[in-house]
Amino acid sequence: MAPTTSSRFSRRSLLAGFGAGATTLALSACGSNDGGTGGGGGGGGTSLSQWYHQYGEQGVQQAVTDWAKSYKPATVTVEWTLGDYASKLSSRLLSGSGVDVFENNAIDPASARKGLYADLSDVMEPIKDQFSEVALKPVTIDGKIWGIPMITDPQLLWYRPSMLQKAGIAVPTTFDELLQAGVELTGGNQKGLFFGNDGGAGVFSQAIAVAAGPGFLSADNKTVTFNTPEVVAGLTALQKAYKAGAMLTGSPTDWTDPTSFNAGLAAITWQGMWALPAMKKALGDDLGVMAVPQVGGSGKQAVLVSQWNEQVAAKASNVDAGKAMAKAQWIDDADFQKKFAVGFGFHVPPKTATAASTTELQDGLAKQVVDLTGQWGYTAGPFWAPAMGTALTDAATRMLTNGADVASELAAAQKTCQQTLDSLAS
Amino acid sequence: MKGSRLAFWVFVTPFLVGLVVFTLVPIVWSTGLSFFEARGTLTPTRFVGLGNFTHFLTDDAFTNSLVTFFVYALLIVPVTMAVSLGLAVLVNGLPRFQAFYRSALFLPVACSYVVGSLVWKLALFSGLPSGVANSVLGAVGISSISWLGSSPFWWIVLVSVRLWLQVGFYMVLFLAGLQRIPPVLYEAAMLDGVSAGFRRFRYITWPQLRPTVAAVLLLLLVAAFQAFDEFINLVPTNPSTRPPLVYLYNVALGSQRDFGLGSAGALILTAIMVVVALLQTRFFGFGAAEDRTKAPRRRRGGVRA
Repeated sequence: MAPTTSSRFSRRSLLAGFGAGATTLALSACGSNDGGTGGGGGGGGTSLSQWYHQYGEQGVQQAVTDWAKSYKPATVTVEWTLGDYASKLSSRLLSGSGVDVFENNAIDPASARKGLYADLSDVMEPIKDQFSEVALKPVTIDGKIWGIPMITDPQLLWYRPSMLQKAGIAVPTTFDELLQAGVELTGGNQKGLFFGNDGGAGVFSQAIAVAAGPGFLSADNKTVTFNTPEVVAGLTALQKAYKAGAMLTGSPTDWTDPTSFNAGLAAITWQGMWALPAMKKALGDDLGVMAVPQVGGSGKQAVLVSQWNEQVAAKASNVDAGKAMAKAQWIDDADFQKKFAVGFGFHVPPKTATAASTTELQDGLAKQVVDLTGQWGYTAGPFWAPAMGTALTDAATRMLTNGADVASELAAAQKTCQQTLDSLAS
Repeated sequence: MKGSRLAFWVFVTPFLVGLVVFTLVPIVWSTGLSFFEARGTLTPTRFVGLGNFTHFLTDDAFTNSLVTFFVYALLIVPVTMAVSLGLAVLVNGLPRFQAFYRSALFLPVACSYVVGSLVWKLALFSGLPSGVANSVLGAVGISSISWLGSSPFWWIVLVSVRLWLQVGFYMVLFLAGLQRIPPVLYEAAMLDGVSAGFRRFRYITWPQLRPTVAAVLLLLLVAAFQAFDEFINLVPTNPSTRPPLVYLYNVALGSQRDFGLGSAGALILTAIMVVVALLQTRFFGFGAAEDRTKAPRRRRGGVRA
């Protein structure tokens, strides 16, 4: 029997219903929440979304979720963000929804000037002398303070005393001694130096620019300063050590992970303080730490410092509530700040008094790192844009892997960086 | 009629909305942004005219990324073409177990480029003496190589991982091409004394595969131009192996977040690919295969008329 018009229409209506339903589901899925892990508290009607990147250490997610839950003035949902945190955060800040309070390790002038961050000067100004100058630099743009320093991560050189002793080498005190030690400590399956799988083009070229004296930018953030004869000499020495085969490259893990160093694949490594517990566990007392030695006559020792900071979105659902919460957690609650710094991973609380009262940082290698950081710590600040870091790393990569001329590559990198810096000023 | 019109719109609307919201609006918005400064924001902030476009023409990093693409394409396109065609001919000639070999060779296509890159980086081409490739070299007395840290060895890693991941797909395309060649051609060739071997391939198989070759060539070129995953996983910071899309990602979506510049770059790269596709069509005749077989008939018809 041929279907009647009404039965055809009925079937179509049914299918149409499915279609409409699927559309509704798809559209609603687009706007769904993606990973909130908790909340609670009374809140009094105020809801806040707090963003973290994925910390590798066990227990951090639960701890920050519980911490957020214990904050009574607002209901806080912790967004534990997997994958490319910077891009996801940037998208949310641009869209102006879904993020109220967030951590950020790269506060940038463009976002501050475009009004994506809330100004935290009123929160920070009264207590800013409690932070070191190095801690305040990454959060300060145009005289305003845009974030509360959360944790500080010093990066410097770590070595295996037993390997140096076996080779009859003293702990290097000059830059030339360091690279020479790298060459002499290379043999068999062991390399002398591990500055990353790129041979040090990424991080160690920057350390050289700092240890040679000028750093990256002038004090007024208007001039790129790293192109000096001392930096050229330092990078030339690095290139020579790379050619001599002193660098560990092609390791399964990069410098941020101490596995290769712990396994004895390198005698001296570039590493962050976060890896100290893992290195202590694997190596016991066979571990030493030092700043990058001075490069050339006008340089100074160097410890590079990176930092995570707590910020509030300018388009937060309730900016004042967000600022109040950020202050309560990252300025007032020193106990949790200590726990966050050393209870899971190993970082330094940026508040000087909090660091000074953190028991785990008061002796041994941890204290040495804190002291070296206090003395030689350097951070480029927010005007050292990622594009500039890429230009310097590209130049250093060509020096190491292609044997490119150091002076001309450095000059070209400075030109590119200066153009980028000039564009930031506009 | 009313019912079918309603059903039409119910089914078409979701796709139309998706097309407009996720494709057309972004293209138009991106084109607009390319004439403006837009750092860290999707809102145009300052009109810069063609400044973003001229920036790319003077930026060594961008021109270097195009050089990287050309080098990569010169390596990956002919190698994939030759290996996939060779495998297709071999599989097509198998008297038994053809389906098994076809499936086995196609299987890597289902593997993620990220997973493939990790296997290549951590196991096969690790720079340590314990890596598979270095173990083989060590067995014949050659010292270890830092595969991803030294030129030209990184190209071996980059080309081989993509070859493994995509060769099965192109093999299947060639198999389809081979199986549509009329057996009568081979029978006729046999009568003329061309029974087997290279001459049969040269005079029968290869000319008959021309449409497939043209399609595969274009697909391989486009895939090479869009190469991203293995580069970002294997050689993320090396400027000598930074293809255009990785460069563009760093500018627009990575840490720089310069959407004005990124939009201009996206338009330039699209224009380059359109030109490449048009040139390819002009010289190799992608999509004109059927027309080619008809063309002589039209000419003959013209003579008869």
